[in-house]
Amino acid sequence: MKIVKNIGKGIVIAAVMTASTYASEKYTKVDRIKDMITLENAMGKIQKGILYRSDNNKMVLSGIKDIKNVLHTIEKVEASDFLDNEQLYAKKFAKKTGLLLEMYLDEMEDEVKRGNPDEVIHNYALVLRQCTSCHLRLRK
Amino acid sequence: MKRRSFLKLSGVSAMTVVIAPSLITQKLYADNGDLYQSYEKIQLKDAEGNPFKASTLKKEENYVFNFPMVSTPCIMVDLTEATQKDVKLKSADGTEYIFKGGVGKEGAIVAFSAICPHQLTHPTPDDSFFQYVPKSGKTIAYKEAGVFVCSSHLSAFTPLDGGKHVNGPATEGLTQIVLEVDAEDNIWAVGALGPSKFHDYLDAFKPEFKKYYGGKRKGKKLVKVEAKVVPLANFSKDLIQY
Repeated sequence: MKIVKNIGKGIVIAAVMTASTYASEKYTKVDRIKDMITLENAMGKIQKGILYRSDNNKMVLSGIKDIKNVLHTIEKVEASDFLDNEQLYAKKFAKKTGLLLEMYLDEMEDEVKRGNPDEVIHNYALVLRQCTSCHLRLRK
Repeated sequence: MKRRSFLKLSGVSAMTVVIAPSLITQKLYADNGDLYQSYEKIQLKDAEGNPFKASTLKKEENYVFNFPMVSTPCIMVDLTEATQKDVKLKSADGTEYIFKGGVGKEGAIVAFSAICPHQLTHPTPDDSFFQYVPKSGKTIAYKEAGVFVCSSHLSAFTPLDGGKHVNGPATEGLTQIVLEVDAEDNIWAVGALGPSKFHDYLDAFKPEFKKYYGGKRKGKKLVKVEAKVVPLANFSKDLIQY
């Protein structure tokens, strides 16, 4: 019983250490580029899912999941890690864009489940609008 | 429809319009180039439900009220000077309209829809990237303050010229909310002048209405009888202005 308890404690400590190591890791430009590629591919997945109506919208849902994963990563990193110095003042804008993306993705997911393809397309357009909005403001 | 029924219906419609002209809500293209949409006349009230008096407005403070829909925010400001009068403006599609000028004793009170015509940035109870920047303030969106600024993409609009777009990626001006101040100093909102983004906004922010207004449909409802006015700092938790 004591061994089991100790193993349990060990797992908790290891998890905490992994989490803090992850949190202290700097989000580099390479990470950002990788994430942007993931986002671009995910948007492509959603578009293909809409165009070819893949089985049970699996592609659309998978694209949504990919974007959300990236958003959750970016939420945890310091804005100074992924914004250039002259753009640092726009960190609240970047955060807001993330929230809006999440809102439209949730809505898109709900509409997939409700079987409303027109609304899925509508929300896809709104997500794309947020992408361009952020690029317009933050990309050189 | 039978002839008699048609005549009856026409008569009733005509009477309705005579009794309540504000029921005409279609866009009006007047001879003088106005682009105007009237709505039900709404009295502006303070947080306690008392009539909001024009003389109590603090100079250059951002005041928010929702009009013409429950979810469409507007910002009213008492400027430091009278606005220009009869300013000829153009919407992105080339339609001309004329800003008649501010209201109140000094002709300095104006209100605009707080939805940026560029990408529909607007104040929410959580934050606001859109506001009037007082003359003493600073903005990177324009060479001088005393303008409405959308801090999402840095568009600027001058209230003295009817919300005319003066800088940034927007391609047209703000929608003016037409106000009236009566003999008792009460303020009324009666219509919207200029290019309207209400439809695009309602379409794009439906999911947000669930959070702030208790449902998608509720956010689309027209405001009736009165609208509450609050300072922007009380309306939004976080004011973001660059």
